[in-house]
Amino acid sequence: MASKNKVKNPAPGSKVMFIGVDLGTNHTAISTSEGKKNSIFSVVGTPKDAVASKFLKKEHLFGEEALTHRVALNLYKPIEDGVLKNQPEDIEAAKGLIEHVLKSVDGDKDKQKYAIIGVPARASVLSKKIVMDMADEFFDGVMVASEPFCVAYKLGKLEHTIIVDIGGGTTDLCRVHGTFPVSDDQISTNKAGNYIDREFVRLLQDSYTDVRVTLEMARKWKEQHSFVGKIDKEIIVELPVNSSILKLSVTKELKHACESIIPDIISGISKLISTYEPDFQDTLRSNIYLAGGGSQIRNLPAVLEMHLELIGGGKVSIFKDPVYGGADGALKLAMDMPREFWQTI
Amino acid sequence: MQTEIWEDTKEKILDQWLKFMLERVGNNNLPILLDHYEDLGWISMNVSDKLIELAESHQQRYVGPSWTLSAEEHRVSMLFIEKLQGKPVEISVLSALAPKKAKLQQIERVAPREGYIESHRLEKEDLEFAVQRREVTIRNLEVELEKKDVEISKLKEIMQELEFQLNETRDEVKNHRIYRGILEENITLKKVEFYRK
Repeated sequence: MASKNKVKNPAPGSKVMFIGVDLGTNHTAISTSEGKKNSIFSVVGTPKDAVASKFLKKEHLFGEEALTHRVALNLYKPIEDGVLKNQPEDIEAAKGLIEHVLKSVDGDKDKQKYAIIGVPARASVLSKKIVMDMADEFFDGVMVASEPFCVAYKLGKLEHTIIVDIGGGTTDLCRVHGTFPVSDDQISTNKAGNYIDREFVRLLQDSYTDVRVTLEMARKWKEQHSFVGKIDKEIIVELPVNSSILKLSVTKELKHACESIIPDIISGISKLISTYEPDFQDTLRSNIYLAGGGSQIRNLPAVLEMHLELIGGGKVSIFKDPVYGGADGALKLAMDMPREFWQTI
Repeated sequence: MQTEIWEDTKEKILDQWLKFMLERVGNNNLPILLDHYEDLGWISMNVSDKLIELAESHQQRYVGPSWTLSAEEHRVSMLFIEKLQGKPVEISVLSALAPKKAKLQQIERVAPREGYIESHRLEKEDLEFAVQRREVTIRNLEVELEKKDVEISKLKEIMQELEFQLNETRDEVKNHRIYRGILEENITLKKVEFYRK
């Protein structure tokens, strides 16, 4: 009954592919109705000169490969703080990124392609317009939708729920209450994965004189060891200090860096709860879900719950798939969207 | 021996007189007539009781219109009493009787004791029949109740199905509102024109 208007059974002969894309600051994830998925770093590289071009034998390198050869490349990170940059070279890089991930999931074949691209909760009209226009040439129909809402849709939590999507560039909070979220339902902050990386580097440099830590190194250590609250074991890493490598504890710095995003999250949750219908505030505070890469920070749900105690308590759970949550949600939304809506767009 | 003969004769005369009275006033009016004779001093209470007892023991019952008799009939009664007292009375006088007024009732009577048993038996049968009828009624009601229960559970199933459909429809409407929200936002975005400086 619920699926009668949906484009789940295309007419014989016509091949339809639905696609969900999470165009994130750090990662671009894609998920298709054919069950294929891929996720790469949101990085595009072009050879710096003819020598590099000859050596690499490619004009464009993407993701991990681009990072590996970054010395020989001009690197483009087209997404900054969750927003596609409005520069021609960045838009071209983003197009290359979309084309690349699409190809990786056989999306370049002759099929009708309908896609929903997840964007940050409070992305501006301009930002969304740029994404839409950029992606338009790859799809027969393309729409943008709030990234945390896509996660909520994937979870099937469409009532009295708060999604906290901690990505690379932004932490997006979205209050879902059975309808499409409006601006009052969404909060976005730049204190997310990249902010933690920067804080981590700053704190390490404050703690250890002459330490040489890049954001890339900080990101890797964060992905391996990130935590908040208390842990039993010290985190020891090999830090380059001048020309030497020293094994030093980064426990305190990493903890402080990771905890630096908590106040904004608590403040956002508090605002979303306090402005919600009083009858459902308790239900809302019991349905808080963490998504995105940042949700993998150890002890984060418990520490958030501890902070929430001060404002009446709350129950925080983790969405199990931080990499593909947004893309899968966008895909589900694209598949469930009535056919005539796609024709309209 | 002579006494026994006389007793038998008395019994027969008593029967004759009783029959005479019953045929005219009926069993229903006999006690009133005998009361009247008692009042007149013709008979004693014992005789009256005996006659009533005798009348109750008869198989046949008469139903009369009234206890009243004509003067001639009363005279015959007096003659019966005199004969019972041993006075010489002409049999022909006793047999020259006025016409009978009471009608014979068709219901056969049994002896009083057996009558009670019979009436209890009948009453018992009636009660048993009533109980049986009630049991049948209860059984029917139980069957009816079972049918109603089945109907109720079917209706409940239908209601659950309808509630399920209603929830599905509500979800569908809710989702449709979401899709429409996304569509409208994207249509607005499509219409937006911007120029790069």
